[in-house]
Amino acid sequence: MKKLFELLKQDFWKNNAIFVQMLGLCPTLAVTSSAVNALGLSIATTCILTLTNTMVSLLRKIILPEVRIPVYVLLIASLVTCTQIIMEAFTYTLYEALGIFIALIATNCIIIGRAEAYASKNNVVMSFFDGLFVGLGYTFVLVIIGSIREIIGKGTWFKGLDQLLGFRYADTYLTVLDSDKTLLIAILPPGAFITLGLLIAFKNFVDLKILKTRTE
Amino acid sequence: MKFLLESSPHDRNESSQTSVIMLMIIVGLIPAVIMHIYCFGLGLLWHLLISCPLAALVESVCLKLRGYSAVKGMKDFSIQVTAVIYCLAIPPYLSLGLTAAGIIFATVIVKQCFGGLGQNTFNPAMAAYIFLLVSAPNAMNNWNTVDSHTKYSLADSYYLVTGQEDRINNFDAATAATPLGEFKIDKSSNVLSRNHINSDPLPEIRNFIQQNPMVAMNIAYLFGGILLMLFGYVSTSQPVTFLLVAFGFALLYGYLGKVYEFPAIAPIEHLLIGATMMGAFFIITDPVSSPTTVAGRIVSAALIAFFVITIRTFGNYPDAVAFGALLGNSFNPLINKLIVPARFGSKEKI
Repeated sequence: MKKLFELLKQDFWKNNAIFVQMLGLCPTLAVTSSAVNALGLSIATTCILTLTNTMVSLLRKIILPEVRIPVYVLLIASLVTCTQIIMEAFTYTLYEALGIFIALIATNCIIIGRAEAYASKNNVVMSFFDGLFVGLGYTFVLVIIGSIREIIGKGTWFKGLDQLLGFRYADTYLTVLDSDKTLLIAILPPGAFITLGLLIAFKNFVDLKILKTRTE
Repeated sequence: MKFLLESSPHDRNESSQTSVIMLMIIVGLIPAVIMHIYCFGLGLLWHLLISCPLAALVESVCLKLRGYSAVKGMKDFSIQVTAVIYCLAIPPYLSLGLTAAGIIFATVIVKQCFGGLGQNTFNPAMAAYIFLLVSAPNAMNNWNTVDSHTKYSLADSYYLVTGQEDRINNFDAATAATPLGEFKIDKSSNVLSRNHINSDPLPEIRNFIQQNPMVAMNIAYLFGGILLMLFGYVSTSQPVTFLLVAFGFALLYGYLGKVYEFPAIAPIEHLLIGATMMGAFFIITDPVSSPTTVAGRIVSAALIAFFVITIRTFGNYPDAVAFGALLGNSFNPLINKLIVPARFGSKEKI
């Protein structure tokens, strides 16, 4: 249990896939123009990450080390294809909104990175939780970036929840800012870079403060 | 022992201190400020009143967070120059919230995130202008036309910048896009031929200013800029190169426009409308965001002139000085690398 907690701390904060390792930045910057898009993509990525970690860990003794990378790619690609088809069936509007980025989860460095760095060396249970925790860290960051960009750029929060949960939730969103007080730049590409940069700076600032209080 | 790091000039000569240079540039902007208020009303005052203290406050907070002395950074007035140029660039009755957002962007992201005075790659005032142009395109293209607003009182202009138009008695502002946009649509309108010759010069001048506020603004910038140039606070090479190259490209595009039939503005109009003079004397001469050598500065000025005229002729945005300046700024590291002066004492170039 203690080991698991340590893993959570590492994956979620200390070695956060985006804030610290800065992996998978392309989808992070591209789909976070709204909180719902960010949430949708990060849930899909978390599922795939957990599944691939588990499967790689299960098969780690059978896979020959010489051909491990192609085998991982094959595993990841087949799982991504399954996810894509499932999303096309159940959340079609979100599937449309995310577009190419669902298929591109296969090329997300976080997934092959965790398969290579963690799942191929650890047992199934730990690998499962590692995938889940890294995915949660990824979701956390993506939803924050998506929320900030949506609130500043469009003035709403979680608009378009119907894409994720069905038509009944079409009007379930918060209006934070009036539409004439928004800054459009936040939902344009420069906004993604600025928001991510400021968040990384903020994370480092928090870490520094924690370190200072500990050493004192 | 801890040494104090300070950006150049290190000379203790009174007139070459950063604060003196910056103050002189603000003095050089005074003709433009007066002309702006005369042409567009009192909106500018409110923008200045918000931007200057806010810029100083944000700058000192940033310096404090970065571990520097907050007062020392404010004493060089560089952020005040940014604030004044920025206020002159934005529409006179823009809402104050947007103004504040722009100045915060200029100070925090464009200036302090890049390392503060002497380190910023891009011109903060122009970056903030583009930030607003991209963020709120409608508000940023909304320049009130000249006839109506000069009669607004200070209170009325306050209602305008805070979005309370309904509180003004007999509100009759007519708004229009910047004149440069007009030229794109209606090629036949010609700034310089609108006025009619009168015998009495004074009403004639007043009339001219009211009909061509952009031209009047450019002449004000030119006047302030030449004064600064004479006293040596602004380099001569950059504005002269910029204006000459801009004129040359305007001639070229005018000729090409006739041959290939696309709308092109006459060269003299290129120099006298939009932000040409402001760019020439106050933006591209920014010592921080221009190359370090004189030759490099000339190359950079020519490059910006080319960008400005090209974007104006073929682009969709009404004025191009901000985009041209930032594009030119992004070439600075390359220019600094390619154009290296001879080492002190040797004749060969490195």
